[in-house]
Amino acid sequence: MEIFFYGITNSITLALMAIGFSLTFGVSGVANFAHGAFYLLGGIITWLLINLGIPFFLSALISIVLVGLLGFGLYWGLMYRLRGLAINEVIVTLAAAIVIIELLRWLGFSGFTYVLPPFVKGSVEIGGVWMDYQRIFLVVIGIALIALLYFFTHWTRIGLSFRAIAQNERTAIALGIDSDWTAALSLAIGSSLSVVAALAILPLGSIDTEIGYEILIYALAVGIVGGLESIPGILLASFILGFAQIIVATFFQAQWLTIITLGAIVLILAIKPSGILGKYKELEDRV
Amino acid sequence: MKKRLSRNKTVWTGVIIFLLLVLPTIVMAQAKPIVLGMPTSFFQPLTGSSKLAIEMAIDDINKAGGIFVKDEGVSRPLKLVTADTRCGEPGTPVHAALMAVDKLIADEKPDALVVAPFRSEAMVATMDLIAKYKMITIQTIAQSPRLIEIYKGEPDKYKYWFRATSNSIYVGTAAASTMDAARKQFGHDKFFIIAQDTAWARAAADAAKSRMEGLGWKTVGYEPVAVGTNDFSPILSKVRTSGAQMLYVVGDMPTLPVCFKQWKSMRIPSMLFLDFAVVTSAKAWTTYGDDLDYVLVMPFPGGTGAPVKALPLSIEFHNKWRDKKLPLMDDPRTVSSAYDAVYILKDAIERAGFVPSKDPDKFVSFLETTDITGVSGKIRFDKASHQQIFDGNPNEGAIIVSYQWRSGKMVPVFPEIVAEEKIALAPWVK
Repeated sequence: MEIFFYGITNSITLALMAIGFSLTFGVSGVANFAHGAFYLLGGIITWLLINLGIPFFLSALISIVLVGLLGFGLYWGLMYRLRGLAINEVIVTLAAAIVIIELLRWLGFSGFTYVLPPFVKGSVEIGGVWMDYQRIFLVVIGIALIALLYFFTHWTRIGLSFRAIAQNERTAIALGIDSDWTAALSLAIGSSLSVVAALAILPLGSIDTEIGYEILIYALAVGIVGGLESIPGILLASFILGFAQIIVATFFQAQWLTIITLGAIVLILAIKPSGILGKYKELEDRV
Repeated sequence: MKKRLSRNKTVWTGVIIFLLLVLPTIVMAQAKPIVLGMPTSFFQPLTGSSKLAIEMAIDDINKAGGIFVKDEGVSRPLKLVTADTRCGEPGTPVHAALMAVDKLIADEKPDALVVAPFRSEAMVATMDLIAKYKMITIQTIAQSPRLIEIYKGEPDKYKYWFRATSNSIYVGTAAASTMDAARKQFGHDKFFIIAQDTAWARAAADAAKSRMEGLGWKTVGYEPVAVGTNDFSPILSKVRTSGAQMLYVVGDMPTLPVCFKQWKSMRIPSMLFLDFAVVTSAKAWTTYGDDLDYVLVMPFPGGTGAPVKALPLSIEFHNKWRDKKLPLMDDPRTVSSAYDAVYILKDAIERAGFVPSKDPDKFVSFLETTDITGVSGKIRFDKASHQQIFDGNPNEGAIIVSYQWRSGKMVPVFPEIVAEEKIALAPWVK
């Protein structure tokens, strides 16, 4: 039973880490390698605001908005001129990530002092398995976000425009979609989602600058395995990797956890480069 | 006339008292300071706190008139100079750390070094610099036993080096003895290890395993975990099914707090001994709160993490720290050793009558005969290794103390000679 319950929480944790990255890079085709840095920044801004005496939920809201605006600014400030040059987009956002993370390290936000409070403290026994309330909230938040995102990208005009510029930007422009505004908005929403993930996940441990790099690796792994543009794919990959990690740690040794993640990337790129439910490569081949 | 005489007397008495009070300060202010060099990596919270501890000791000594140097007939104040070796930062080569030490010695011409490089590799390499410059060094951080081997290899060359803190052998033995106290108290004998998958943590885990097995414990699980592991539930499930009664966790990775939080939330039925520096000071409770309740911790030399009634200077040390409004320590391991290092030098200078740089060869013998009380108990050096002697009795040598977190307090629970309470089981541990 522990494998089942903790497999679910681990999978949803991975999905939360990946969802903002997937929205920008996968769904709307804008590379945001500063995703991990925004996750970290969101956690630290919230911590600072809480320590200034601002209530948790208000602090969380302010961080979500601030980081969203930063993502928006990142597009207009740095990526606007590079739009369409995929490698340059990767380089510039990765550089921004390094600047943010190392700046936070230089400012002293390193170590174990920075901890976010859980939504509700304590744990409960479910089916003979003890689990903390925060993990239960995390699962609820994760499922709600995935459902919302699916609805947003399939049933709203803005969401459909995100997918349109990812599939074919020129055609999207011809249909009246402002690709720059759409891309900037996608970066803003993706950045805000990284903060939502941080607020749900970080109370389980502590905030450390290294996490900024680690999150990006997990987000990339989930995106590549599931298919970057596919939200069901992200969910499926999260469950495959999440349960694989728990099963390997339970029946073998926990030191292989990282290899599972990285090995899955290599394997999927060799077998199906678009990811399990992704269709980019197939579409390109057909064209 | 009589009244005038009496008034003159009062004035003169006042002048004499004033001169007696002020003159030593004026003389001391003019006397050349005794310079202590602190070349270490300031990236770590541990070294930042060590610097504050040294400054606290220097401040107290200077306020009391400085150190009287008999041969010079004056009291001299102490002055601290520092150099960042950066050896605790990832990717810093050892030679870069050596250059920082070399530059400090050349530029500042310190009379002695304190603390010294953070990382053992850098400290090992610094031994030759210490020998080259005949620089008296009271080293207080790097714990590697290799330093003793180096000293013993050529004692005449390396005799200027003294380690005034614990070493990894003392620490490992003390950790095993603490856990073994649970066997004696509760009849426990099954042991599980979770070690971060890095060389130092694996080495600490291997040493704990062999020591615990030597004491009659059965190792029922040994789990190396990858750096970055953010869910410990499968490993903790294994701990539960293994029937382990003692869980030893060692590491320093950012996600390690997840482990002890899950230990509590999953109600893992084993005692938890956490070999994780961050949870060994009062600050940890302000960060993690009651997730730490019942966790056993050991911040190396006794009294450095929290006061111990049986170690009076540890109470004084923490009171001074609080009175000076210094920030709570992030990592208290060996911080009190840095504080003691200043007093070790003060004592030796006063007995020798000269500063270490004047005649380092002769000064060594005064350090070898050190016999003062420090934060962790009696400070004495083993002549054969220049290692501070750690003894089970604070009246004979220094001691290492283990604590248990109880409702926000670090309660000394081992060794028995200083324990203030017995080890308690968490409510969900049978």
